[in-house]
Amino acid sequence: MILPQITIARGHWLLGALFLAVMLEEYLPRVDKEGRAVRSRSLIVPWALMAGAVGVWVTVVVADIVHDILVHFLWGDVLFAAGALELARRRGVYERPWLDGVLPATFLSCGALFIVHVTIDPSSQGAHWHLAMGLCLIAGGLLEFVRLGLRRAPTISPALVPLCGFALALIAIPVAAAS
Amino acid sequence: MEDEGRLEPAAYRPAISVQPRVVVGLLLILAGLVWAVARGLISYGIGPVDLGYDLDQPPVLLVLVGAWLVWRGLGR
Repeated sequence: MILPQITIARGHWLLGALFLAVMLEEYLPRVDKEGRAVRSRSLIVPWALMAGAVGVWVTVVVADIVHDILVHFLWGDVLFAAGALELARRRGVYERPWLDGVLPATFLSCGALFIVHVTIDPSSQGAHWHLAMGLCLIAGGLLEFVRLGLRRAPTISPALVPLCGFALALIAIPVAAAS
Repeated sequence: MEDEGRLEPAAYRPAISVQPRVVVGLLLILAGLVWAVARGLISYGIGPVDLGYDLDQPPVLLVLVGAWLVWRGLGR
């Protein structure tokens, strides 16, 4: 099945909005009654990651290019695994120190898949957009890993900047570049 | 123990007096409105599917995310 380009672009915009909401919910702290910035650790984030995974998996059904099918399938796998682990952790049923690395590893691996996408098809119209989005995700993942290693982490994660850049690029992707 | 009085929570102003989420949400709404004016929006109609198309446009999505963020910031 081949979808019109505008429908593909709409899917990207919707996922971009979802990811922007996820990044801001996760990394933009709320202020408690004492004026301290605290992370919300909301259940919205894992559910949104899994919803995003389903959205990405849809491409596997509707795409007609093999590498698009493969890369989107892997994106969906990574997002669903991350959502499931975060959901278990936030519900309190599974807690391990290594779970701190789930979200940064998700960003890194999804960013790496963008680079794979561009490497397989460097002449596509969306290559520059995909490269920019991949680099934003990789930067976000690396910055989060650095933040986790710091004894005194900044109140607002620096990773928020490239991660929001990724989401905004996904929302703003032109119709011709969406694939 | 004369310092105890200084340690009363009420004596201190909160470190942050505004919700960052509200600020960022309002900025997103503003950016979405500017984007909508600059880019223009397409109206597809008011049917269930058409309404989905109406909302699934980049500036509108930005406003929606901003509004949601403001609601999350104010709702606490």
